[in-house]
Amino acid sequence: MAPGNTPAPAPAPAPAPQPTDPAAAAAAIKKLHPRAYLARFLAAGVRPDARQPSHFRTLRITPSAVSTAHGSALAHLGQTTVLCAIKAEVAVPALDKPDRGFLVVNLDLPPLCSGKHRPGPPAAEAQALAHQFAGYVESAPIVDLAKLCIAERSACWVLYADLLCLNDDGNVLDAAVAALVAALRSVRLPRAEYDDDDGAVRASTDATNRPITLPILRTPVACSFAVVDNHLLADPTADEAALASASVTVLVDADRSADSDPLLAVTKRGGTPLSKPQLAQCIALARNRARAVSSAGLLA
Amino acid sequence: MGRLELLSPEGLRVDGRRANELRKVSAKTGVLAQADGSAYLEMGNTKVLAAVYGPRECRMRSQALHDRAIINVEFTQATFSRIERRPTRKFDRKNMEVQLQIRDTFEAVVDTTIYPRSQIDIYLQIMQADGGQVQACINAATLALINAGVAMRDYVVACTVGNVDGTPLLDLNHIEESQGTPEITLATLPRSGNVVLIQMESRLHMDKLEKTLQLANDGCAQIHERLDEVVRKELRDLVHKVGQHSNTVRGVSTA
Amino acid sequence: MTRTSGRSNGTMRPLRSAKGVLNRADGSGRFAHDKTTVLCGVYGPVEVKLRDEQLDKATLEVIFKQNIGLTSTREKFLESFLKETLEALIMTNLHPRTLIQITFQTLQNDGSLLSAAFNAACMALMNAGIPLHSTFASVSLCILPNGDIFLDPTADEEEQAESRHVFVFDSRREGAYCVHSDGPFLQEKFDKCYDYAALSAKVILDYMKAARE
Repeated sequence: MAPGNTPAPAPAPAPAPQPTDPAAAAAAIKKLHPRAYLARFLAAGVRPDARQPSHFRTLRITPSAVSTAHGSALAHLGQTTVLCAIKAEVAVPALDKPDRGFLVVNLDLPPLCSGKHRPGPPAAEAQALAHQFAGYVESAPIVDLAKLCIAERSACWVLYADLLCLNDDGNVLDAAVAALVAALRSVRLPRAEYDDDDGAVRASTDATNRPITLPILRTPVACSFAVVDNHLLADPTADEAALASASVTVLVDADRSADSDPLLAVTKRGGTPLSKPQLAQCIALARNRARAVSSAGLLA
Repeated sequence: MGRLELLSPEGLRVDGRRANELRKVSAKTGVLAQADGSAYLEMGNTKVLAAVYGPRECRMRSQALHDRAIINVEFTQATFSRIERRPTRKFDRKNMEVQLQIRDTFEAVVDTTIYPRSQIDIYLQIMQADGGQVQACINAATLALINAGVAMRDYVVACTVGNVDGTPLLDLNHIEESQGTPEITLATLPRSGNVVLIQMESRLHMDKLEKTLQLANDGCAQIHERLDEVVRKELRDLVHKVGQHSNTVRGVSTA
Repeated sequence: MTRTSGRSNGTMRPLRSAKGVLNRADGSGRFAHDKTTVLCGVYGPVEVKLRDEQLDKATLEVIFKQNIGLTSTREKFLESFLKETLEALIMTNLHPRTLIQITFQTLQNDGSLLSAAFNAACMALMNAGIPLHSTFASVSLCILPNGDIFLDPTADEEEQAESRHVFVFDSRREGAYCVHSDGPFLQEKFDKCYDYAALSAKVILDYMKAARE
């Protein structure tokens, strides 16, 4: 669908001569009048990347992308790319939870992922996103932390999950959740033994020494939406998100995505109000998306 | 652990290379859609991602120069880049030193006078560190700047060398670096042969210096060949794609 | 299941509020859900730094301070939440190229903190004379593992709950301005929470109206 084929409207007087190349004209309109550009697409029921408003981008997962980590995955959601690497270290369990280990997540949006982010300490937006992500991980635990215990009260594994956004073309949150789930599934920990005599933890000398995999409790799938001029757009790109007046994220368990199963989280951030039917629509689309991801076996 | 034998009597190093052998260099440009220019470079197991944004408006107007662009470099090592996890410290002195070195290197080569009052940002992310991070960053940054279309006088290629018992070793990996071998990082401009950066923080006898630097120069020449191959191939592919979509194809100089 | 204080599931705690408590701020408000108390100060419209200036509307800056502990990413998250919601409720286009700074200080936290903050913001913004599209109120709820829904939970109740929900409605209550729900919960329970929240928001708005007079 090329808007350049039809005579371009002039929402404001354009003193510069019109370029003869239709692609260049479209690029100029997109830069100067982004809202009008997007509105023309939405009026025809599509989006600039030819998606339907309710369609998500294709999710591609490359597990074990980082060989030096105990578990890792690279998630591509369209052009948005998030890398998750999990490294395990040994630590002493918390006093009030002596039989379980820790999972520490950190989502980083470095300046190389997008022109919006500038060098220096992370921007407030990036910090808020990192916290929202950490909140989802905490409230909907993906792995059973009890399996990370090496010796009660003395030693346990702590998994440091570092997520790095390599390319931000909108909706980093969904890609980050997918990367984390895939990375946790790919974790292989060596069997460890705690030596009471000297308090050291050593790799097991058992000849069969198969690495431990983590038992998965649930498979959360995040589905984010943006509201632009009263249109609900699923999985917004960076350009669409910049024009959004509200955004919603629904977290669904892909293994339990029937209508009667519980939801894991719903977050609607500011801007235009959404009515109950609109929220219900988001939830329904999120469930469909979770089912699609699950049946495609992406996070298996 | 005692000193490893870095060079066996048969002339093989710990990873099976000869003394004057480079690690395998592979690179791809245009890997990040958001950046103006980007490149992913692997030298053996050292993997670097470089992104260039700019020339664009200066973040702090007070820093803008009226007659040229300023170059800003940011160098970070991913937490998973080494075997041991390293948490990112925001103001790491070593990182800042590397940033300044790389910035000075490129300020000599980039034609900043044609972009007044603007800023060129070079972001370097080490994905995996196995020795020679600075050299890999410089090579990756060169590719990324070319990909971004920033005007430069020449490529900047960099290489590390060490010296073990009088024999210079080319392109040290992490094991060789951590054994206390003297290590020199050399960055040159291949066309003119000029040296842009030379850095050594260890001791090396004067008599061995010339031979070692000669090997470094050879190494740089080899890397230049490799990088040039990558750039030309990608340009040929691009011209081919453009040619398929339009009737007029402007000629490409192969000088 | 009865609550420890003897409240019924659908009763709010006693509300208390005050306005104009800070004499140096352009507007201020303090809102309390029984023990949970948040103080809000509004400064603005004031001069804005050039790099934050917006040509067609006012820039909002939100600062949130907890009563104990160091500032962490949690405060940044609350700040961005508050900022995005308030940006939609304040008529920022009437004060272009200015800054409206809204500062929150938690005085006491016994659950439903975010709601108290939103309600304090409403009082403070009205006190400062900043034009709003409409008044607004926020309600918190939580669902216990046995399925009971508690309105306006205390900190203990939030701890035991399986899921926590915060809603913000305006006086027209056509839609929710802000929704923050976490923890596993059934959709039908979520819908019930939405309805209870809308009704309770009306109660709080009536209270605020009475408090203004």
